[in-house]
Amino acid sequence: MKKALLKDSVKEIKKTYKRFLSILLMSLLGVGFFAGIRATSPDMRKTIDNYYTEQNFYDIQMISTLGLTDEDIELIKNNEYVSDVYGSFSKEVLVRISNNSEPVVKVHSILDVNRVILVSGRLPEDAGECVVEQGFLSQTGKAIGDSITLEDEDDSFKNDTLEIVGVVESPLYITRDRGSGTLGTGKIDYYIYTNTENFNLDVYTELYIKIKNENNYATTSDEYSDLIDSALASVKTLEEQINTRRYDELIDEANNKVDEAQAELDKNREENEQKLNDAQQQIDDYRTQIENSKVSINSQKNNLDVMFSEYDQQIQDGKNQIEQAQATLDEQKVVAQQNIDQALATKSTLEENLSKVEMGISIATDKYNQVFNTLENPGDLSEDDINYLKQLKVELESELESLNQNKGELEESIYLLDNTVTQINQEIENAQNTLDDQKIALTQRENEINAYKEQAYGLIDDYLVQIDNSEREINENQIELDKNKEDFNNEIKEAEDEILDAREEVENIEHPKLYILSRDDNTGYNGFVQDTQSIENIGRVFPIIFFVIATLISLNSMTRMVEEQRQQIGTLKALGYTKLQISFKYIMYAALATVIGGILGMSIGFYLIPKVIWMMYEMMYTIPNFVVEFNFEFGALGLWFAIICIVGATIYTCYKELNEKPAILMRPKAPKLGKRVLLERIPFIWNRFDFTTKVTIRNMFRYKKRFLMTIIGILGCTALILAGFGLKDSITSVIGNQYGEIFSYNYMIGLKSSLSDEEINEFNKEISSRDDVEFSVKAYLSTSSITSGDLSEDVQIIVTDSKDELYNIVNLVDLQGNKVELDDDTMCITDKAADLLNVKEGDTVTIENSDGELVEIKVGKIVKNYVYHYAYMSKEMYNSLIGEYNTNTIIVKNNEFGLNNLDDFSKDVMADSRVSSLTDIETMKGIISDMMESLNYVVWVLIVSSGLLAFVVLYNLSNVNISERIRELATIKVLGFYDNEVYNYISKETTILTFIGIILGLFGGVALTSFILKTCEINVLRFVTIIHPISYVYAALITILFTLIVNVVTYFTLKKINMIESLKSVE
Amino acid sequence: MSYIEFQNVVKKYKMGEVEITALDKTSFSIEKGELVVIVGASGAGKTTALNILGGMDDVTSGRVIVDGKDITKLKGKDLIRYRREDIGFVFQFYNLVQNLTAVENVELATQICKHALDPKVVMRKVGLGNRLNNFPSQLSGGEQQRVAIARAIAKNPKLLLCDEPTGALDYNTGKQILKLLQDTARKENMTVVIITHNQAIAPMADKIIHFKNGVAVDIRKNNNVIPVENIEW
Repeated sequence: MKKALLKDSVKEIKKTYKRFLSILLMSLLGVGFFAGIRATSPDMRKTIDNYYTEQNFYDIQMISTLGLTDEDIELIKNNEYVSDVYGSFSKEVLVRISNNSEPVVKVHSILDVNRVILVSGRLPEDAGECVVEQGFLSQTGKAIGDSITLEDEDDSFKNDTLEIVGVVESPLYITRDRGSGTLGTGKIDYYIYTNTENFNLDVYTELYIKIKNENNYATTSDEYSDLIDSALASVKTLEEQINTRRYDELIDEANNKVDEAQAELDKNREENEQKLNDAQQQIDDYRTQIENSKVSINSQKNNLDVMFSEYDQQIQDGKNQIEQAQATLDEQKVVAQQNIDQALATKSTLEENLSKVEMGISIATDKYNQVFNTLENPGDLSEDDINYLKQLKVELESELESLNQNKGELEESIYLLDNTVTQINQEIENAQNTLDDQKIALTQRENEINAYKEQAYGLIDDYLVQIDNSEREINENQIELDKNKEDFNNEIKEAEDEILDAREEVENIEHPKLYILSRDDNTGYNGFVQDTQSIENIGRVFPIIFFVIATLISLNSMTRMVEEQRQQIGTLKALGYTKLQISFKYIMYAALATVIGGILGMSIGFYLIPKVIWMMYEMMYTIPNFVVEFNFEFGALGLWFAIICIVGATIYTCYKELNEKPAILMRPKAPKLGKRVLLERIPFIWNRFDFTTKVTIRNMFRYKKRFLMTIIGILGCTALILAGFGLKDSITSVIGNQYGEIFSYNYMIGLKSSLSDEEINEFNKEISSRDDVEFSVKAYLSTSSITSGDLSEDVQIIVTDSKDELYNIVNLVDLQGNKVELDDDTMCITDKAADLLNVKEGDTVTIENSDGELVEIKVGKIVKNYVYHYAYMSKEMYNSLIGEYNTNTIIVKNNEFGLNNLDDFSKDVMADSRVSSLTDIETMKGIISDMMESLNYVVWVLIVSSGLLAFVVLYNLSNVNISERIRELATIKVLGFYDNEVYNYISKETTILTFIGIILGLFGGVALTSFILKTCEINVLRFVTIIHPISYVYAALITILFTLIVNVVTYFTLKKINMIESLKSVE
Repeated sequence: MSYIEFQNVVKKYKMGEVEITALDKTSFSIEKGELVVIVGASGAGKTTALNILGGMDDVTSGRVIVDGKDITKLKGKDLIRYRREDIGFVFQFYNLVQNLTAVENVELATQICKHALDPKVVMRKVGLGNRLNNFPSQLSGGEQQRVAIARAIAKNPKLLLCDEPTGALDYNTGKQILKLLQDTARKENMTVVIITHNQAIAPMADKIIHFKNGVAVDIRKNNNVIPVENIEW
């Protein structure tokens, strides 16, 4: 290499730094984009590989419908491919957060496989603790330190109440999808990890197998795939053994259990029967005793009765005797009284006589005394009188003496009479007294007997009461015993039935189904790998646009450069430099620009582009630590492409020129010949153009290369920008389409599973009669896996109470938009699911029914849908093929009033204790559109990169255009064109080309959008290319803006054109 | 005062560190309708003077008065307007727009002038009435230069400036071109300035100005104007 040439090269770069820069920039963009986008997919794969390696992610997952045991682990461990086997527990449960929030969580055991990443807090230290995912905390409002309670109905956990001690990320869940289950709506909401010892399960729910991967094959590599295939095949050979053993074990276990139960039952029955019999015996004995007592009491009572009646008789006899005696006595008394009365009558006669006597006495006495006294004091009395008196006195004395004698006799008779009366009285009295005494004695006796009687009968009565009580007691005991007997019999019957059932169940124990799954069967992982493929696809197309444009631009620039230096080339050639030496300068120039630009591009592209793309994927995947690598392979490839394109273009140009004779080269290149364009032949149009327009049109057709390049450049730019907006439009319109066009409900109310049909009906009635509700529909939602051949997809099955109701909430239309009706023989599935399953209308797919059996179902119509996969079928069909229809959801459409007051509705529903969940379409739309917001990144990446592209292309073309036509421009400047006229002279062309480019670019953008959507489509989404009119406007305006910027630069470049220099002469 | 006064014009270029004086206090004057030939060796400053006269370059000092207007005072748009309205330029290499036909090249100039002449008429005047719709590439060098001249005079300028108009032409053609210029000056009473390094054609001029080292060293009126066809060189 001659020094002079080298110097010249360097000087050339300095002199034409703009051109150098534009080639450099093209190379930068081309290589940067190529390398960046191409590297993204390997970076993503590397990231997932690192993640899986770091977290010791399983290679093979083994799930058995009947669980797996330590023996299985031992067996599998012995397989040549297997390095380690981990037994794992997992269990799906409801967690009660509040009355209305009962999310379904899957509880996993913390193991050394699929290690979780601790985000905050700490890992559980004992069985009473758990760690949760971030979403659980943010959605439920719980925090670290709070406790949650698992609704552990079958006692799968030792502790139902767990304290949240940390937040983790699980490699098992790299997407937002938590899988499907059998509880609630069939979707698992969150995962939770707790220690293995907290699980109360006999068998492992799944085994995680690590295989020997000595060469550390990356998880996405073909080698790994081959290794896993071999390992899977090898492990599959154990399937039979594992299944048989597990089955036998289970049967034995079950039989043993049944037998044990039977034995226990028998023993129990025997024991209890004995006990019951003993009790009966006791009661019977007791009853006999009581009977005996009763008899003895009665006989005693009889004895007493006899005795007492004798006594009574005696008393009565006594009484009779006494009465008789009394009567006799009374008779005697009457006689005595008569006697007495006689005596008394006699006496009174006597006493009358006596008193007469006494009176006689007294008169006699008085007379005597008078006589006596007269005698004593005879005084005046004549003796005769005295002798009379003395005679009278003696007479009186004799009378007195007779009287006194009478009196004595009388008195003695009275006395005798009195004595007789007294005697009679005495006798009567004595008799009476004796009789009274007898009476008293008899009464006493009677009293005695009565007291005795009372006492005796009292005792007897007490005894009888006692016996009565005993009898009652014993009757009660008997009733109780009878009840116990009945209970016992029932129990026995039940137990016997149970044992019978159990025996039957043992008979029916299904043969276990073993699922041996690789990472590819993990939907999240699979989707991720698919996504890396999408990116790879994009990486194949996008950079091509850049490379094509870069090549064209470089070709243009270098051609110009070589042409500008024709004379120098001719001179050098004339001086005897070889072609190689001459072209070296240009090749060097181009190569330098390309390599520098390429390396810069790589450096930026390798870091920036994967990061930006990753940011978008982070919306869908939770995979930490994105790996950005300087991927030399892609860098070199990109650079190589750039060199081929740019340097190739240079070499081509050089050789084209160098083949000319030096003499020709030293003369100025004949300017391109002026030519008429086709349009001129139509004077009608042509003559209407003003002068500059004519020039412009002719110029456009004159420089076809530039014409094409400008159009391609602008086209590419517009297409990329439109693709950016188009992607955003298409992806965001998915929500509107799904919840506007397809689904027309506002709320989905999940019902508590405990509700009875009546309660559900009542609830539905309440909801539908609200004044903010237009209608409500009872539906059964479940998630099932549909399989067709090797393909399988999870779909949500929606069954409504009646077919017509379904049409109210879902706009069931086929892909052409025609209304579709359900029939009872086929199910409708959504088109993305049909695509993924590769089924057409009329094909048959299998679906798992509620018993876990696979049933065949015919696919009816394929219906339009945008988000997730759904299958619709009639209630009758569901009932007959899959399982029992049980309303678990009320789907609500609000009326106009309701739509304006959605908050009220949700508040009311959430407060209802019958509601387990509430899905609000508006909120859901909000969440999804928030997610879609991140798509702005894509738009920005596309806008910025295509803007750069547009700028570089336009700037370059404009520069080339100006330099190529500098004499022409100088000439018109000399002619006195004003600056803006000069600018118009040249920019009119650019403007027209820009517009053509934009128009074509808009078409291209639509195609590009469709292409990208097709390559990037996510499993659960159906993208339809939808580009809003405003996006076309934006894309056009942004392109115009870039054009304007370039035009401003052009304006000043034009202004600076030095007329004199340009016109002096041809160099 | 003459129609054109070039008074003490100094023009210096800075080429990096070096300052080159292209015109060093040079003065001359040209009357209206005069055909002036400026002769001088390469680098004598004649082209610089022409450029300044044509409003394509500014002066370092001095005054240039054209038809009573000091054009050194003109800036930007006014200077362009001066070029547009008052000046016609003819270059050595014609500088036709290749993509325009002969008449269109003329129109290119006339469409921006107020007092322009009819391009077709002018084309006929320069003898190209039958080549109106030919592209420059379809014309010979002389014909192209005629188009260039037509383009210059169609503007109906005050001043027609020609920089080595025959430099790229063969003898006979060059002669025809010079004749066209001489005839134009005569017939249209146009002020024409021709630069040439060929002293031989000086006799066709009304005034001959000799440039040497940036100064008009000899300005003389030619009282014996010889028609171009009679000049041999």
